[in-house]
Order: sequence, then C-alpha cells, then structure tokens
Amino acid sequence: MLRYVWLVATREYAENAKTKGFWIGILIFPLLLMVSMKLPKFLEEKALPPATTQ
Amino acid sequence: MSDKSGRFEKVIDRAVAADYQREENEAIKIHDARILTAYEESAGSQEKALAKAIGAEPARAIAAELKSASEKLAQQSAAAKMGIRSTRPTTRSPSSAPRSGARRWRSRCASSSRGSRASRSSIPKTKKKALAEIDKWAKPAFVEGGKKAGPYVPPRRRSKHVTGAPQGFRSGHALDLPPLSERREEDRGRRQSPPSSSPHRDPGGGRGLERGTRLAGIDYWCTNLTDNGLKDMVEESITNDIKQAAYEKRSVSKADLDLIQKTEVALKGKDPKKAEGEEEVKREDTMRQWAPVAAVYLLWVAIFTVAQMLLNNTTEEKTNRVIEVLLSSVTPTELMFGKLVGIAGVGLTMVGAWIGSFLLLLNLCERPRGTSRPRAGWRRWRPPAAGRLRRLFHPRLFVVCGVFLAIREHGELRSRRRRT
Repeated sequence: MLRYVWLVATREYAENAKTKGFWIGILIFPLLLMVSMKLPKFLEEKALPPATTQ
Repeated sequence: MSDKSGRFEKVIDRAVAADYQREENEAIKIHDARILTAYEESAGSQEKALAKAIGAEPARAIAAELKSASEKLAQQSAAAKMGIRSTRPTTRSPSSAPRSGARRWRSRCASSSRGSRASRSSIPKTKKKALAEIDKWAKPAFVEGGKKAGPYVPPRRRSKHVTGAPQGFRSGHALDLPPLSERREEDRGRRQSPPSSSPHRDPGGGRGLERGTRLAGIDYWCTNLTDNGLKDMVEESITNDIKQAAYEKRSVSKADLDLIQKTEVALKGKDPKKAEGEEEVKREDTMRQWAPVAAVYLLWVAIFTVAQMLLNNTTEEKTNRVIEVLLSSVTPTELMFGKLVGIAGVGLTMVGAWIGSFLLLLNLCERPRGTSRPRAGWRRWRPPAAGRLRRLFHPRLFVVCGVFLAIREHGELRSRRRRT
C-alpha cells in the first residue's frame, strides 16, 4: 500500500512542479517582499523637487 | 502669503527662508550620496581592472589609499554642509524673481551660468571644493551634466509677502493669481468672513490661543494644494511667535524655555535573563521576538495556498476523468493519501523557498555599503532554542493524530464489513 501511496505522491509532486502557478507562487512572494523593502528607499532617492508652476 | 495685520512679516519671511533652506540641504545631501555611491561603484571595478593589470597586491594598496582619501572628502563635505546650515538664508524679494518660470531641475544643474546667484553664493568655498574633488573621482556618467555640473541647486520657492493693504500682484508673477484685491472681494463674498478692519496687533493677547485657532487677516494662497511643507513651516513660525509673546508676558526668558524644552529622557531596554555585561536588547532579540509572528503569518498563507491547491487538483482530475484511470490501479485511500503527501511536499517546497529567499534578502540588505563581508544579518541570528521546536512535535499532537486515524480506520472497517 505504501508503495502506491509513494507513487501517487511523486506523480502529484511532479505534476504540480510542472505548472506555471507553482513557480509564479514561489517567485512572487520574495519579489513582493523585496519591492516593499526597496521601493520606498528608491523613491526617496529618486524624488524630484516639486516642480514650480508658472 | 497675505498678511493684513502686518505683524508677522518677519516671522513669515523666516519660515519661507527656513523651508527653502531645508529643501536645499536635502537636495545637497542626495547629490552627495549619489556621487559617493557612484565613486564606490567605479572604485570596485577599477580595482579589479588594476588587479588584472599589475597584480592583486599593489592594486589593493592603491584601492585602500583611494578609499581613505574619499573618506576624508566625505568628512570635508559633511563639514561644509554644517557650514551651509549655519549661514543665514537669503530670501528673494518678489522683484528679483526670475521671469523664465519653471525649468526642469536637470537643466538647472547643467547650466552653471543661469543658476540662481543668491543661492550659489550661500554655498561656502570649502563645500564647492569638496564637490569638485568628488566630481573628479566619480565617473563622469554618474554626475549630472558631466564635468561642468556644479553643486545641485534646487528651484527656489517663489513667495510673495504682502504687508498691510493689498497692493496688487505684478502680472506674470509665478503664482499667477488675480490681483489680491479682487480675490479678497471674492473671498469675502464666499465665506462671509468679517472684514479685518482692526488688524490684530497681539492676537493672543499674550495669553496664547486655542489649538487650531484661525487668525483673521492672514491667508495662505497657493496653487499647489498637495505641498504642505511651506504652509506648515509658516504655521509653526507664527505659532512660535505667539507662544513667545505669551511667555514674555509671563516673564519667562526664551533661553530658559529652550533649556527646559530640551529635556528628554531615553530608556535603554535591558533583559534580566541575559548574562552580565550584555543585557542590552539588540536587534537580534527584537527579531527573535517577532519571528513567531512572521511564522504564524507564513503558516496562514501556506495553509490557504496549499488547501486551495489540493482542492483544485482533486476537482480537476475528477472533471478530467484522469481519476478513473488512476482508480483502476490504486484504491481511493491510497490515491487520497498520495495526493495529500504530494501536495504537502509542494507546499513545503514553496514555504521553504520563501524562507530561504527571505533569509537571503535579509543578508543582502544588511550588508553595509562598500564592504564585502556581511556585518550583521541572519548569520548572527540564531534560531530559537531547540526546545521550542520540540514543542511543535509535542506528544499531544501524536495523540490527536492517532485518534483521528482510529476513527477513520473504524469507519473503513465498518464499511468493508458492510460490503462483504
């Protein structure tokens, strides 16, 4: 019984690892984290002085 | 700015000047930081090229020399910044306002001849020298406008300060408002505000005013409604003036007051559980404190994601009729268990990747600029004691699992008995 369970499990894992959603899910979390950490700093450095209106 | 009372002329002037000065300081700070970063980046690549050309040892020596020189420059520029801060800012009178209006700041940087003279003169010579030195070191590409770029000079705020009776705006003024007298009539019609015939000489009467009090006769006109910097500055300035009048009436001197206001108590967090000499609460301790929160959040996200995945997977195979092919060779129990284990593996991989990337990110972010070795970060952070991990696999957990399994097996046995 355990052998079949193992077979089904490996198949499931392989099938899931092949999908796009899995990789997107893996990548999007650190990406979001990094963006949320770096973006404020980046914007602060890039900030233009307020444009004067004529 | 229009001030009919004529009382706050100096105060408002000071606020405008201070706001402008603040902006200039900020801009110079950013400029310096950019140039230093550019220098550091270029220095790294230069060192590599040198090492290739003349060998690693002399190249390192040269790099060290360069680095010490650049640090000296940074100190100089910091000193120069202090010099700027201490100089009294010059305010521009409306008559000397430039006619050309708004220019992009980049072109302002590049054009050294057209930059505003007044602000240029407020930069001391040492500062200019330091900047020129840094400019020489940095790659020209990183310095705006190339070699000719002087210190960055931000656009000035245009302000017009009207005292007493409105005299009307010069046409073509930067703010481009209709003459003040017209606006005033309009305003009066709109808000039914009392005519400020009696200018307030002493609004607080030396008693101070309540929070949020509006002063009649003083208005702040502006076209940029989102920028509150100048308004806040003026408000603060006027508030301080009124406060000072109140203090003076109570014969409290400004110096005494400043001294008293400076009082500030700071407490350092200390942990009684730690060994002597290192009781102070450090960053790692804070992280250790917050790690469980992060773990709970991660668990929550993982459970939702993985449960969703499992459900999707099962229903998809049911609609595909793949499940029927599979069920011809394995029992439903085996299939479901296999699915659970497989999806659990997928979820664990995902969470593991997240944690790994988080630690990596932490390590990268903690690295101080210019050094290759991480000074602090997750390497210094030790995970919580093993006891806490052991608590995760508490015997109670196994008991609960066993009970669930027993119930399930019981049901299975009963159904099998019914079938036979």
